[in-house]
Amino acid sequence: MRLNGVTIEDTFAEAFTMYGARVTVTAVNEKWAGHAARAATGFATSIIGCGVEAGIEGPALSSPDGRPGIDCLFFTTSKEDMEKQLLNRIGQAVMTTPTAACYDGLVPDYGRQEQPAARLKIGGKLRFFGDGYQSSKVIDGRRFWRIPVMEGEFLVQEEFTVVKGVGGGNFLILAETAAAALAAAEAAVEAIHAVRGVILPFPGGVVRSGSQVGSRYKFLKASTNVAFCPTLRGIAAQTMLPPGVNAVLEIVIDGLTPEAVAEAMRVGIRAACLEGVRGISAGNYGGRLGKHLFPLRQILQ
Amino acid sequence: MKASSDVGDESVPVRITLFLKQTPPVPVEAESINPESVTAKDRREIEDLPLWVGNSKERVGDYFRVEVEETEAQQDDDNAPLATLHLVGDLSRFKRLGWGMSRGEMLIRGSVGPHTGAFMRGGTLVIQGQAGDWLGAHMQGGKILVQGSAGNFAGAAYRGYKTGMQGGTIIIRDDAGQMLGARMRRGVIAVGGNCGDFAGFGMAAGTVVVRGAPGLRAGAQMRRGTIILLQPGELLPTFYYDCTYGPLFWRLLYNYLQQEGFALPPDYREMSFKRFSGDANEGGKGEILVCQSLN
Repeated sequence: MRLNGVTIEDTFAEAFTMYGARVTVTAVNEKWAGHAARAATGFATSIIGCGVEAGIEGPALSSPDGRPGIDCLFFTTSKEDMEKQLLNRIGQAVMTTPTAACYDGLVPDYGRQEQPAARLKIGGKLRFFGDGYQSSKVIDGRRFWRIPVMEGEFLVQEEFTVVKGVGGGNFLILAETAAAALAAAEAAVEAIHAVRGVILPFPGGVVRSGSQVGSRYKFLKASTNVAFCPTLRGIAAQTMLPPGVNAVLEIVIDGLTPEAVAEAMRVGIRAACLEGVRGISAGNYGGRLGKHLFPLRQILQ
Repeated sequence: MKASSDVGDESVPVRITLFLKQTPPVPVEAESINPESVTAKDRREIEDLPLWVGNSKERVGDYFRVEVEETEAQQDDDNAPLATLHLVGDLSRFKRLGWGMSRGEMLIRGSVGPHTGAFMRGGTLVIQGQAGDWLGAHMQGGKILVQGSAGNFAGAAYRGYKTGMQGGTIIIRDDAGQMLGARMRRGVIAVGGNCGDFAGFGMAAGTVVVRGAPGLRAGAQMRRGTIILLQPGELLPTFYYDCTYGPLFWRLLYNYLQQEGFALPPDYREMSFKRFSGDANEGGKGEILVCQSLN
């Protein structure tokens, strides 16, 4: 299959079930909501080294207090990790940001799934920062905690909804030059930003150091994706690089639903098929490890 | 919609209307009248429901003309059809209407007597008239909407009880009497007009909003909870000024009240408040927020 002259390889992306949460951060204006959201989702590129994958999804679907808001998505491999990460990140990044407040963002469009995987008490634990002066308000059936801070009050919802999502949707851009790969990746990221329910957790939405499972070193769980490294084409045991390909960039997608991930891959791949791109491939483990498979040619039809 | 005099099938949603035929000579204990007690009953069974009139046990049919109509499907949260109950007439002498109701909808076109909606746990109770004392006393959930004024002790605790309202929402379009929300522990009470003395007396938690003029000694003996005064009033000396600020939860509460039919001008959402902590005699963890300005 060729798209815009670019070969779409007959392969598939292999993704895993992860736990996902949407956190809505609001503030007095977009600038401060952005500060809080970026801090909360910082250093959250890969579950391997960060313990969580997170990113900014887009402007808030619903702002409970009517102020500018931003939706952030967080993905972990366990509910326990999610609780730990949300506690740390909301406590250290959102509570500390002037004027910021924090709400469970999964409420507005939830209902598609029968039951959430969990409801984590995040505000219900952060409240202890109030040293006994915290108070709560139950409004429209939801409890919010008011934690006194030097600027006034930090308002945070007691519970955050966690659902089963998808982590590790991906595609690889195989290009003639590093510049062409980057241009294509940027175009893909731009297109994917219009899709709700997904994030691209890596810097700028792009990964240059894709990984393979395992390593020749026992202490390392993952190592560089040898088969796609152009500098190793001549010496690697196996290369996946077609002739003429000198740079590869990966787009990794986490989403609340398989459908959202597939849609993000579809628009991203279409946007990435630019001049200088030789092919689009995807990372997988032979289909043995991940629950979610995304065949490239199928999702593009 | 079709009229029927013998609708007894629980699967068929119905609207039951009780038209007052005659005003009773003395107050009536009418706790038997709520959506759950009339559901799945035909006209004759509803007419046979008991009413204590003074010390005499009488029937609903003695005072009401009963109409049962099938309606469009309307289900509540439990997904079981529940009758919508309408009452028409001046029911000022009927006490305990909607007592303990847990779901469904009850609409009263007229005024009601004391204890209406007391111990209510869910559902919606709309009163298109005046409400007597003890409206929603000990209420635990659901919503009461009064399109008029309410008497004393709305949402309060009965004598000898430590805790009054423990959940739900009471919205009173006009005025409320004394001891509004006394000893309440949870829930929201909003009053569109003025209220009497001792609003929020002994509150343990929850929220009272008064749009009009508050009476004297609001928040006396409150331990926690919030009283929001949208018009300034004289406060007890046991309330200490903290700061002037815009609490974010007010925006959420504003949205909720608007959604529930409590009219507030749009610019009220941006309002700043003076915050007073008190009652200092009870630990001082309660608060009175007094409208300061419209930013």
